[in-house]
Parts: sequence; C-alpha cells; structure tokens
Amino acid sequence: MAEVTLTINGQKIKAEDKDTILTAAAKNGIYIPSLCFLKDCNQAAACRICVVEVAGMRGLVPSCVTKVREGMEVQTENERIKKARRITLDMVCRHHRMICDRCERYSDCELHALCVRYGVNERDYNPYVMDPDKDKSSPYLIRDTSKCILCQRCVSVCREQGMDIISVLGRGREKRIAPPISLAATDCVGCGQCVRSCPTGALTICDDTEMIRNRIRQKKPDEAVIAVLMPAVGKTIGKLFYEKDEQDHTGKVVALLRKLGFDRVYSGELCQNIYLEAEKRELARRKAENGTLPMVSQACPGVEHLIRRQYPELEKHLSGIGTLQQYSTRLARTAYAEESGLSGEKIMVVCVNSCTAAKTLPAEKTVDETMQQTSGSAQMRTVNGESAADQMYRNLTTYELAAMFRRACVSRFTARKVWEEQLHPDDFDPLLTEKTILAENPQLSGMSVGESRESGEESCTAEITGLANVKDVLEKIVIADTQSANDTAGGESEDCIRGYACPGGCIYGGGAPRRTSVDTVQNV
Amino acid sequence: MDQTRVLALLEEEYERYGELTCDRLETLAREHDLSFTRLAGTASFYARFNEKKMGEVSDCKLPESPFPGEVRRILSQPSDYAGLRAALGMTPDKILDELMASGLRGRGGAGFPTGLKWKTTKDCTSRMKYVVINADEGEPDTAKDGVILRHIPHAVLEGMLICGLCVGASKGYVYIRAEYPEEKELLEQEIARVRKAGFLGEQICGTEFSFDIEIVVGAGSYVCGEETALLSSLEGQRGEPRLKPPFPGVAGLFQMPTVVNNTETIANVPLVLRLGAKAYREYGTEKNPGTKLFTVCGEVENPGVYEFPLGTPVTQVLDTVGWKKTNVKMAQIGGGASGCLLLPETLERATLDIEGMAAAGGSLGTGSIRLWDRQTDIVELCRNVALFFRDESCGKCTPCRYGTGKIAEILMKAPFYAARRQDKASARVCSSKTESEKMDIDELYALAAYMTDNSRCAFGQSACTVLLAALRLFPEEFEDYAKSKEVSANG
Repeated sequence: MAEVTLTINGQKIKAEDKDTILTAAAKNGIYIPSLCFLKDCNQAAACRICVVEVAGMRGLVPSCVTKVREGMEVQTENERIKKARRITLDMVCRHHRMICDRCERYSDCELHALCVRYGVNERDYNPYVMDPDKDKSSPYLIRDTSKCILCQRCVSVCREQGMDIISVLGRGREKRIAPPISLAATDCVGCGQCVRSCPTGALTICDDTEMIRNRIRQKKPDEAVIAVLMPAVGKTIGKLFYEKDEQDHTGKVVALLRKLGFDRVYSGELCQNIYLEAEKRELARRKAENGTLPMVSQACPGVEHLIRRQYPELEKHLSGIGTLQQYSTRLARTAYAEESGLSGEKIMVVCVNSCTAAKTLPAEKTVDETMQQTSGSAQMRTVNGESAADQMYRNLTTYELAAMFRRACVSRFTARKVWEEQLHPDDFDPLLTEKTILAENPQLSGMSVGESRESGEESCTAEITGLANVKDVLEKIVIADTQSANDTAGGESEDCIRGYACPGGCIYGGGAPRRTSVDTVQNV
Repeated sequence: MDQTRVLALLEEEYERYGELTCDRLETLAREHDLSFTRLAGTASFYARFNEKKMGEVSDCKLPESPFPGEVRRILSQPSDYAGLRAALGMTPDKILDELMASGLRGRGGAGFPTGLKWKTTKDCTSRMKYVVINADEGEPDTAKDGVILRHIPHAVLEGMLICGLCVGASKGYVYIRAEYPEEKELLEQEIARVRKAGFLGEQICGTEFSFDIEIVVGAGSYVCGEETALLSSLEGQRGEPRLKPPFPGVAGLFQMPTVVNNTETIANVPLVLRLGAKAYREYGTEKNPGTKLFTVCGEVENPGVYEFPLGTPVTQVLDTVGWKKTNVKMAQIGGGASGCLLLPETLERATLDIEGMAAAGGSLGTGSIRLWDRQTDIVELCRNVALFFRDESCGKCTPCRYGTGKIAEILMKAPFYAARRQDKASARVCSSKTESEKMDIDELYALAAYMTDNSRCAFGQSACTVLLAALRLFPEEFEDYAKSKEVSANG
C-alpha cells in the first residue's frame, strides 16, 4: 500500500492509494457532502452530490468512487461545484413529495439537511402536485415511492442481507425503486435495514406511537400499560438528540417512559438473561433426550420469520420457547398481573427495542409449560389461533420512542432541553418477586440474576449476525439434515445457533437511529 | 442458468404472451433459478417488453445503395478467411504487433487504438476471457453496421476469431440490436457455415485454439450501445453503464477481461492481417489509417452508406453523393443524437478523421453525415433530440434522469407545442402553477453545461451536444421562440 500526497483545497494531505477522495478528505477533517454513498455497501456514484473539481479533468468527478492519485489537486467547494449541487438538489426536490412539516423524517432527513446547507428552498415546490404512492401492505414498514430519491441504498442493503427483495424498475424519469409485487407478498422478514438506510422518508417503520399514546390516555382503572425496555435502546437513543452521543442512556429512557405514562418499566436485560437460561434448559433437555440438534434459537424475530417463510423444514430445530420479545412480554405480564391483581388480558405490554421484525410476532404453537404453571391469574384464552394476550402486545422502536417524546415536548428543541436537563436516570421496576424467579429457574437459587448469563456455559453456541450469514448457516443445516437422513453419521459442530437478522446485532436494528451517508464516511 | 440467455428468455416469453406480468416473471424466475427481483428489474428496463418504441430523432430510411464510394476495401472482403489463416500461422504477439503497426482505431466513436485495447486484455492472466462485438447500432442516422452484417458477416466472425487467438479468449458474443432480424439470420447462417468449415469450435485447424461465438439480441435501449451498459445487458441485467475504472479490458463480462469492439472495427481486423500493416496504411492518414463507412442522409441526392478513406474532405464525400450547398442550413456529423452541428462554411475546411473533425469543432462519432435543409426548425430539432434522450436515459444518475426531462420540458414551452404538453409523459414532470410559461434560454445554457459536467457516463455528457451547438450557431432562432411566446402570453 503506497502513500500518496495530494492537495485538497490548497491543503497538502497524505492518503493511502486505495482511498477515495471522499475518505481521504474525511480522514483529514474536510467535509464533502454525500447522499447515495454508503461505505462498502452502496457505491453507485448516482446522486452526484459529492462531486468535486480535480485539476486537469474535464467534468466534475464523484469523490465517492474516484481514487486519489499522486499530485492530485482537488477543490471540494467553489461556485461551480455549489451551483452543480444546487441544481442536483433542486431537481431531486422537484420529484420528491416535499411535505417536510408532516414527514416522519423531519428531524433527521439527509435530503433536507443538504437543502438547508445549499439554500434550496422547499417553498418553490408545490407538494400537492404529487400523490403519495404508499405500500402499506407490510406489517413492518411502509414504502412511499413519492418520497424516494432513487439513491438505491435500500436495494444494496437488501442485497447485502441476502434477501434481494427491492428491485430497480423502469428507466429514465419513470424509474422506481420498489419490490415488483406488494411488500407483504415478498419474503421480507422485516429486518428493517432498508428503513435504517433510507436518507428520506420513503421508507418508514409502521408507526405504533399514536396507538400506544391513546391507550395510555384512555386507560380505565382496571387496565394497565407496561413497558419492557431492551438494552439496545439506551445505547443508541442518544444519537437522536446529539449526533456524536454514544453513551448508555438506559436510566434516562426509564425515566422518560415513566413520564410518558407507562405503569411499569421492566428491564429487558433481565428478561434476556432469564430467556437465555430457559434456552439453555431446552438445549440440555434435547441433548439428554436425543432431540433435534443443532437447536436454532428463536431469540431474534427476524430469524424466526425467515425460517417460517423460507425454511419451513427447519421448524423442528427451533427452540420452541418463542422469541425474546414474546417471552419477555409474558414474563412482564405475569409479574404485573400478580403484583396488581389485574387480569392479564387487560395489561398492554409494550416492548421497547430496536427491532422492526418484532412488529408482528408469530402466533405461538407451543405454550411454555413453566409459563402455564406460573401465570396463575393471567391464564390466556385463545382467539382465532392467537392468544388474546398477544393482541395486547405492541412493539415500540427506538426511533418511534424518540418521535413520541418529541411530540410530547412540542418541538425538537424543547425535547433536547428536556432530555438534557429534566430527565434524571431512574431505576427499573423490580421485575419478579423472588418466588417467581425461583419457580422459573430453580438453578438460580443462591446466585444473583446478573451472574446467570455467565454460568454453566459448557455447550457450544454460535452467535451469527446478519441475515446473509444466518442464511448460510441454515443452508448448511438443511444439507446436514438430508445427509444424516441418508447415513446417520452427521458431522456435528455447534449445539445451538443463535442468529440475529441485523448485521452487528440488535444495536444496529432496523428501528435504531438511521445510518447516514456521512456516518459511514466518517467512521473510517 | 447462463445469464446471457436471459434476454432471449424474456423475448420468448413476451412473444408468446404479448406481455410480461409479475406472475409470469415469478414463474420464469423459479423455473430458471433466477432472482425474481432482478428479472423484474431487467424486464422493466427495455423498451421491447414495455410496449414502448425505441426513441427516434428523425426517420432515416436509406435505400439499398450500391456503395459507389471512392474505394471498396472493407466491403469487398471475400469470405476465404485468408486473414485468419495468416493469423493462425503467427504467434499472438506477432498478431498484436501487426495490429499496432496498422494503427487501427475504434470505429464506434471514441477512436481508441484497437491494438492497445487488445493488449490490456492480452496482458491479463485470467482463465476466461471474452470478445464482445457491439452491433447494437442505436445511433440515429447510422446504418453502417447493418451494411457490414448484411454484406460481409464473415469479416466480423473472422475478426472475432483473430481477436480470440490474439488475446487468448475462447468465447465471443455478438450483441445485435433487435431491429436487425435479417442481419441476425445472415450472421447465424455464416456461423453455421464457418463451423462446418472447421474454423469454429474445439481445436481450430488442428491448433490448440478453441473458440465459439454466440449471438445475443438486444431489447431496445440506446444506452446499451455504451460498452459497459452493453456488458450489463449481456449479463441479463438492466442496461445501466458501469463505473470506469475498472475498464472492460480488465474486468468486463462477468468481471473477466473482455475486448469490446465495434462491428466496423472488427471487420477491419482481417483486412490488416490479409494485407499486412503496411498495405493497410495505404489509405487514410498517418493518425487515422484505413477506410471508413459513412452513412450519408438528409438533404442529399443519393443517401446511403459509402466507403471513403479517413481524412477525406467532407465536401468530397458530399460531391460524390450529390448536394446543393445553397440549400443546406447545417450538417450534423457523428450521429443523429449526439453529433455536432456544423455550418456549410465550416464544412469546406473539415476533413473526415478524428483530429480533423475535432479541429472543425465537431467529432467523427459513428461517421454519419446528415444535411439539414434551409427550412429546418432548429428548435424543433433540439426538441426531438431532447425527447429522444429523455426516453432513452437509464435513470441511474440524477443529472441525466431529470436533466434530460427538464430540457425537453423547457423546449416544449415553445408555442406550437402547447397542445403536446398535455401528453402523459410530460404531465408527470411536476411544475408549479406560478412557473413562467416562457422558454428560458439562460436556463437551457445552465442545464446543458450542468449535464455535460455532472453526468455519470458518456450518454448524459453528450446529451446536450446538439443543443449547445444549436444555441451557439443559431441563438436568434431561440430568441424568436422565446419572444413569440411572450407575445402570445400577453395577447
């Protein structure tokens, strides 16, 4: 790898020869705007926002794909470039349904930010000329093609995930980015990575905030709304108020949820530990009874959806204790029902996490035996194959929570102030009485709950993130299954596979703060 | 499944059912183990499958001309495969040396030295290499490749074989446009004949060299004439140009080193081998050796395809074809969509070679010459060109996707086209009610410069060549249009 010297805006900088102008500039603190570019994912050079002037080159060159060369002289911002960017933005805006004041992405739209920077004014456009073109068929996300700016980031991300659901249709001005059939008819499992990568409001999460707010507002005395807060939320929510904030804000989020009117806020981390224990017990049982191995964890709803849709032959490998969200919901409901004496059907449990796939959970086929014993007053009836309690479940993503908070605070500026000054970190409500925990997990006696995760890790568990990787492993299991059906000597590697749909795990879930072009450039 | 079969598969399906529905595509994808998502993307890209016509600028109906040019060299090649026979007795290095010495340059428009192109691919150590011939002659007013395929298909095949022998490729594709079914038939017959004669297949003429050729038919897309878009199309994808670098010579078809040559270029190769580089240079100039086919049409007496040595003065060609200078408003050289406009006065000095045309302020392009008569409405010409580019843009990058439409929209504001603005295509372009109804010439200039500066590939960069030339040569006609609109708006 050779080092080259080049000049950007008259400043001499050193870079590696594999760098593009964009990354070389970012490494040296020089900002070049970008839009369609997502590092290592979408490098199409299609939007032409990142164009720069290179001495000796005829036109403007896209900095996102142009490699640096020795002695290159680059200008990143002068009148010619600004004018070009302005025209580009102007044309994009003319084909974009500009209803910024009512758009879900108002606070962090990448297109809007660029328009502000380059003085492209939305008042020139009549937003009512374009009709919304929405696909609301999916339970996870909504596509509005009229807001799509054809950056193709979602297409690349979906391909990277190994799903390949969104296509590029038509050509020229009539080009559209959409699945050829309605979203619900595709194999989409709702990982939400496309939503997370969308620079505008073309892809949004199915919004549950209004429903939850109304529920809290119109609550009768014998009803309750409680929340289970998953750890990924606190770790990323800060980014929605301050760009560089990477602190763990779980305590503040607890306080926030209480302020929003939730009756109880339970720790998702605790539920997760108990869930993992239950999983471990199931694994031990399978090993003892010669059950189907490897066991595939259901923790991630995205992976669960994937198996049910694309690998139905692997259903027998599933752990059978439901997804993490289902399990946590049941734990929380049982605990609160016991504590308050309310009927389980009257308690709405809101799972606060970064997951879009958890917007719908599959109807349960097996009811956990332990749950039946401990649920007591919260015995669940079954309605249309779905337990009545499941209808009292809602999923709230990090992004939606922030939006809900902002709305409660009138504006995003007050939201920031409230977030900073008025929210003081708070503790979770104790989830279960000691008795319940012990009934759940007899082996936990004499040990504090926090330790449970580390103890007794003798079985081999493989953790995989990213749907493409999960698919690879599942394919291998399918092959192993057919082989072992023929001859019994099957090569065993892992006993338990725990896959997560989102690359990097739940922190990068579909409902987490968006992944912007600038982020991917600057995290070099 | 073989990806290069995708277009043929879609065509078959389209022929049988008359349309490609999502259901049909889904079944098709399942049957052939393709990605439904991508298949739908491909099907929606091409004009052929979407009840659209390939864009046209003006009708260029050429009579079957007798080719009375000054020389008949390319077009008089006999089908004795003497060039290939000569090449088979040479080492690949020797073939390349011969080609380099001949100075042959690409005839598709860019004029890149063919020898250098081959050398790039030859130097790659890849297991699989390809030879791809661009017979997607989509440029309006150009018909030379059709003539070659009709009269000397054997020269194309011979050139491909020599190329394969030289660079070490074992597979060749001819990407032919859908509007050339007869030419395709002739080419197929020739392939069968050559196969019988033992020049195609495994171990040709007892040597270690094996080569096979397939024909792939396009589906109506102008941009697929761009070499990287053509490769995408060949792979059964949407015909969107790829980013360069890497160039096709290093990573082309299926990411393997690929020589992409124009039909006319490859038809020159056997000639070089047959005659030797020195004799080949007999015609043409030092920098532009050899002869070239010129499609001459418009306001001339005998339109047709003519063969002349490169470097011939334009007037000499026109005199042969027959023209009346006083009746000519301007000439368009280099292609009906992206060829530059030249005044008759400039024509006097211009010679038909790459440098000569550049000096005259134009480009040789595909070598088409169209004369426009005195009555030609320059704004209407620009409007037709703009509409052509609007309909043919692949839509990948912002400047070209919207810029082409915007320019067409501005030009449509001219008075006589008020009615046309109601058509469905332009209704989609949203414009606010307060927008001025006047044709804004400054905006045209700005947009044209912007598109040339910012577009992702040569298509967008050359989309405004005609407009810019027209604005430079006949500014007063645009002014007239702008004014007449003001008057009618006031009155």
